[in-house]
Amino acid sequence: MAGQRLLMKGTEAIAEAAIRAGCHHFFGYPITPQTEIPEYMSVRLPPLGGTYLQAESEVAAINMLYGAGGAGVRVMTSSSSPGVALMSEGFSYLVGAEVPAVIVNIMRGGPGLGNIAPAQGDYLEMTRGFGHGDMHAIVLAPSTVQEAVDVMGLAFDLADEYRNPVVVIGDGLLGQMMEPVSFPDTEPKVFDKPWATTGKAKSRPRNITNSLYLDADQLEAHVRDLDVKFQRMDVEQRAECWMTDDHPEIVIVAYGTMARIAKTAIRQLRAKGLSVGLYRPITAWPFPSRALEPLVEPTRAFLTVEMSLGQLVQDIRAQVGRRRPVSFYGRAGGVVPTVEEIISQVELLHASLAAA
Amino acid sequence: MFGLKQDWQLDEKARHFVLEDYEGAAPRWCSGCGDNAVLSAVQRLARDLQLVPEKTVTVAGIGCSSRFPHYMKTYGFHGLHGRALPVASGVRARRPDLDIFVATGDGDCCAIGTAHWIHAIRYNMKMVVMLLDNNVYGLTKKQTSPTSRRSFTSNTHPQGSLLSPLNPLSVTLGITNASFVAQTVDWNPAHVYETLKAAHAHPGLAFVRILQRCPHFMDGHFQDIQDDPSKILLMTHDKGIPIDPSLKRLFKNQVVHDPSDLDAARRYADTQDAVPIGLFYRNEHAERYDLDTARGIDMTPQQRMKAVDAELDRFLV
Repeated sequence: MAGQRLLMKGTEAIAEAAIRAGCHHFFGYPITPQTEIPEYMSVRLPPLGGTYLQAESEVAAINMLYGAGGAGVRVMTSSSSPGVALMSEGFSYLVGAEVPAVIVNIMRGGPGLGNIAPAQGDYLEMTRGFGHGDMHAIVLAPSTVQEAVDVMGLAFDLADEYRNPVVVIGDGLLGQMMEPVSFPDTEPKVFDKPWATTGKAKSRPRNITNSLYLDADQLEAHVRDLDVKFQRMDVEQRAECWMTDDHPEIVIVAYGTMARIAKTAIRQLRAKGLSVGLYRPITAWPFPSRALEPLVEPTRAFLTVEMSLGQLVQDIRAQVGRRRPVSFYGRAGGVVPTVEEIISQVELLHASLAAA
Repeated sequence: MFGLKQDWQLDEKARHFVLEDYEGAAPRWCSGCGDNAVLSAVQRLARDLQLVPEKTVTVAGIGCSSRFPHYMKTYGFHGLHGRALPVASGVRARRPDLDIFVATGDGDCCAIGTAHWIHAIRYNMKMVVMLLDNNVYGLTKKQTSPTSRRSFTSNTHPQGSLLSPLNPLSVTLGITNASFVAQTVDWNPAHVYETLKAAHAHPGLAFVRILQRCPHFMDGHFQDIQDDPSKILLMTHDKGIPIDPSLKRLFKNQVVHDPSDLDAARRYADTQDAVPIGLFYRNEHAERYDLDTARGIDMTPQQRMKAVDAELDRFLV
C-alpha cells in the first residue's frame, strides 16, 4: 500500500496517516463533520493491538490523552470546533506538563452550536495559545488531503521533539472531500521518553506528570523555560508561495481549502492578464513570517481571503503594517467564498490600485 | 387610543389554548421516530392543563431529541451538548412561575452530561426531565451510546460494543435526593401521557426515561417488547401512574409497587427479564434548591440597592 495512490476521504486519510506515524491510541467523541476519524480508528486500531476508546465527552477524551501521552505513547484525538473548545483546559495542562499529543480540529461554523458546514473561525483560538496561561502550540493547516497525510507524520514528530501538543486544523471541506493520496513508507521516528510515567526503575527517581508550581518563582522559571521552547519552535515555520516569482501586483493570502479556491481564481485572473500570486501559511503558528517578508516590498497590495470574518488577516496586517495595504474578504457561517467572489474582489483591488 | 398593556389584559381574560397553540415548526425527525409521539403527548398535556405558552419553556441539549424546543410553540432553549439540565436549572433558579420541560437523550444526559445529571437530580428543582433513550447516537449517524446493549454493532464499535449498558434508572435512583423516577415507552401514548402528567404535577425534578424507537438506525430494536406485552412489567399502585383499564388488560405482567419504597424501586429498576414501566419512586418532600435560589425575588430595585449599601457600609473607613 505504501507508495501506491489511494482514493480517500480527508478524515479517513488523516486517521490512516496517524496510524502510520505510530499513533495506535485514540480517544474521542462523535461530532460532525469529523466522526469518520474515530469511526476509522475503531476499525483499524483493535487489530493492531492499539486502543480505541469512545469517551463520554471531549473533556474526558483530552484527559485520556493527557494520561496516555504522559505514559509515553503516541496519542491523538480529533473533534470539531465546539468539541475542541471543550478540550482547551486539558490542552493547557498538556502544555504545562510537557506531554506530547496531537489534536485534529475539523472546523465548522460557529459561534455556539453554529452548524456543521466548513469554516475557519477557530484560527485565532488555535493560534493564540489554545488554553489558559502563557502557552503556545504548533498549528498545522493542510490544504489538500495529501498534505493532511504529510503533516500528520510531522505533527507526531514535532509533538515528541518539543514535548508539546500539536494541533492540525482543517475545515469541513478538507475532511469530507475525497482525493488520491499516497502514504509515506518510512518507519515512524522513535523518541526516548525518560520523563514518561512508565513504572519506576530503581535506577531513576520517580516521574510525576504535573503542571502545578505553587511557588511563584518556580512557576515563572517553568514558564520561561516553556517560552524558550516556544521560541525554538520558530524554525518550524512553513508556507507556500505560489506564482510569486514574477513579483505579482497583488498577493492573495489564504490557508487550507480557501487557498485552493484562491489558486483557481488566480489561474483565471492570470488568464485575464492580471498579476496575482498566493501566499499560503502551512503553519498557522508559528506564523510563517520569513516567507511573507520578501513578498512585502514587491507586492502592491495584499488580499486575505478566509472562511471567517477576519482572523488570519490580523497576522498579515501585524507584519505588513503600513508598508502595503492589506484588504480582506471573508464569508462566515459555513458559506465558502467562491472563485467568482475572489476574482471580483481582486478586480476591484486592481482597479483601485490603477486609479491610485 | 388603546395602550399595549390594555390590549394584553383584554387578550388574557379570554384566552383558551388549543393544540395549535403549542405546535411550533414541523418536526424534522424521521418518520416513525419515537420523538414524535413524545412531542404529541407534551402538546396534549399542555393543552389539557391550559399551560400558558409564554410561561412554558422547553429546554434541550444537543442530539436528535434535543430539537424538541423548535417544535413547541412555547419559549425554547436549544442549549449545549450535555448541558440541558444546568440551563434548565438556571431558568428555574429565578423563574418559579414557569413550567419547564427538558428534552435530553442518552448521549446528552448519560454520556457528556453525566455530571450535570447527577447534580440536577440532587438540586431537585421543579421541572419535567424527559430522557428520550433510543440506545444510539442518531444525529451523528449511529455510534454507540452509554445505553446501547452489549455487542451492539455501530460505526464506532464495528465488532460490537464491549460493555453492558448503563441503566439510567438505577443511576438516578442511586443519586441522593432523587424525588421522582418513572419509565414509559413511546409506543404507548396513553402511558406516556399519564406519566408526563404525574411528572408535571410533582413538586421537584421529575425524571422520566422514555424508551424511544429510532427506525432509521435501530430498526426493530424494541420490536420484541412491542410485539410481546408480557415483556413489559406494568407497575401499578394507587399512588403510582394512573392506569387505563385497557392497559391493565393489555399488560398482564403486573406488579403492585408502592412508589414510596426506594429499595423496591431500585430492585425493579434492575429488572433484567422484563421492561418495567410506571412510577418507581416519588418523594414530594425532598429538599429543593430552587426554593432557596428564588429567595428575594420580589425585592424592589430600591430594596436591593439598600442591601448593597448596607453590605458596603461595613467597609467604610
